[in-house]
Amino acid sequence: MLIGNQLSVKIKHKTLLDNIDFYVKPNEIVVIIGPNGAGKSSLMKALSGDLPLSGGTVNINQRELNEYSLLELAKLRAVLTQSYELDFPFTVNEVVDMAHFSHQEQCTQATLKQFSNDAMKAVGITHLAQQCFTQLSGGEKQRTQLARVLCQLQPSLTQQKNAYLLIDEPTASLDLYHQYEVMNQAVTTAKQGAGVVAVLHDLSLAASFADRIYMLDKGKVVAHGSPEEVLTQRHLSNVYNINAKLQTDIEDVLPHIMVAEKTLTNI
Amino acid sequence: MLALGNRLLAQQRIRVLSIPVLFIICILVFFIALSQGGVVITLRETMLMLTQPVDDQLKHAIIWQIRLPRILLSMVVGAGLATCGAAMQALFRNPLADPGLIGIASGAALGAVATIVLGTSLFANFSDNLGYYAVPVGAFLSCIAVCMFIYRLGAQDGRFTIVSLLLAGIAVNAIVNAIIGILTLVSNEQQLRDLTFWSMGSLAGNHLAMIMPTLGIIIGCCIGLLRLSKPLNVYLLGEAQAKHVGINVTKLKKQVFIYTALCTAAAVAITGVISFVGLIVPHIMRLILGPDHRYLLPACMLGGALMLSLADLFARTIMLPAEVPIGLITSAIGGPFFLIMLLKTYQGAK
Repeated sequence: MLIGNQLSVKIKHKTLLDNIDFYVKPNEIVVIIGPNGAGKSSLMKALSGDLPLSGGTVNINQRELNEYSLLELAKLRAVLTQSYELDFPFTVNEVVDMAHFSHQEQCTQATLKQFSNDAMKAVGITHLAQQCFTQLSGGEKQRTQLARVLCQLQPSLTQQKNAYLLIDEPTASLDLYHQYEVMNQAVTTAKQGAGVVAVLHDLSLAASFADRIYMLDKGKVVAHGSPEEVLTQRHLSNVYNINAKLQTDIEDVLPHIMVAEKTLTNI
Repeated sequence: MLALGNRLLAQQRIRVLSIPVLFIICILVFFIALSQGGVVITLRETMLMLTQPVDDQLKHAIIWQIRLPRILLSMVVGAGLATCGAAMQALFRNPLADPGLIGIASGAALGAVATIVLGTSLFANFSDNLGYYAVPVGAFLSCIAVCMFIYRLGAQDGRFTIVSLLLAGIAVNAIVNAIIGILTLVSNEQQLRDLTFWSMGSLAGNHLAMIMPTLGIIIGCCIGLLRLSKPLNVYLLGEAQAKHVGINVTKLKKQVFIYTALCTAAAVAITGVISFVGLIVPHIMRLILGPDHRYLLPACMLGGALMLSLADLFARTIMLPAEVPIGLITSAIGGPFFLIMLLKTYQGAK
């Protein structure tokens, strides 16, 4: 399990996270939602060890995060961040291959290469393999990075180790097809045994794919549970100030958020 | 960004082939450079003289005491400058970075200028003791001191961030240049002439014994940087991303900085400021081979060696018996060549 115990993050006098309890088990998808500035990315950074905590601990598989070396940690969890600074003309294939760094000693080159190819196939970028990363569109870049992150987890997952995938807004610059495609990929990864944590803005996507949802507001968890328990009219109104509800009962249709014509509750 | 988003050829075959090809060209240039100069010695004679004792004392001395040290020095310094340039560009994730950017080169310049100008007064002891070696040793020591200062400023909060390193470097660079300016102001005619020539760079007049420490330091640092090529690739993804893949980013940055500082200090101390090699060679190599440091860094070593030894060959043969400062040649040949490469890439991209 990946557990956050009473996580608090304060920078100067600003509280980013206030006493948050969080966990994700293998085989499940946990989604973090919340309005802008609620602390979603901060929680993600706290869980991945990028943000120093002012209180609380993060545990992965019963050991505290700072007891791991960076190399050990890289085998247990992969992180997809929101922004990429890569301005050098690597090919897509080379970017995905960077995931091999922590696995070079255990796996043969051929195995790792196979993982890269599988990951590129899974997110549908095999045809881009020899192209320059810098010349791709935003969505293609995002899928390339996703392939890299998936590839990083494969060695651990095939050895049946508990590994975790943390993804921060994986669908931000994707078209509708690829949004669902990426989330399907998260489901596949979860089925392989990974615990997946995703920050999502799109509540319909969250309702469709999450096993559990954490709803954050002002650095606190305001609701936690199944999509039906979290995405209630009351919570949506209190946290997002919108008049909306979750619809789950149409046959052959994924759950989605219905927004009322008189949208804003505070007018 | 200029020439950054493009690469001309990316095939694996070209990358693997390019390094042996460059190596062979380097060897050829080495022998050609040995045989060319004020006194013409044929290639066959040159080979003979390198392998067995010869009667012709003059030619023997020219090869062994003048040309060989000079060519070795030009190759190794070129390799060092180009490799450091590539490493700096990776460290700053910016194609315009080179060791001059954060004051490493001017640190050496300060030492050289101080030794030249104050060698007869304030540093008389230092100059008398070291004699001929005073300027290079002064330049090296001052460069290391300035780099340590920048390093301390950059590592303020224990994190060694690139922005703080850059700002500290730029500030120190400005201060150092101000001091150089003051020293230039108080120098006499002869000193002014000396320091002007030093700042244009020269590979002339060094014995084998004198260049050995330089060669050792530069080769050591280059090997150190080569060993970092895989982490450097991943580092280009971004600092947070590299950390997630398992790289100790802070340690990597410190290692790159230290190797680059030492290598540049050793090079600049003995040859003076040779501009452009550290900027242009990595760019050309990146255009040909792509940004993978496992190929890029060795290619930069060979390419830098090639560029500087060819430039030096021009510098000492083009205006016989006089000699053109090497820094002028690298800029005058390198600039247009670089522009042509750029234009070709743009045409290729259309």
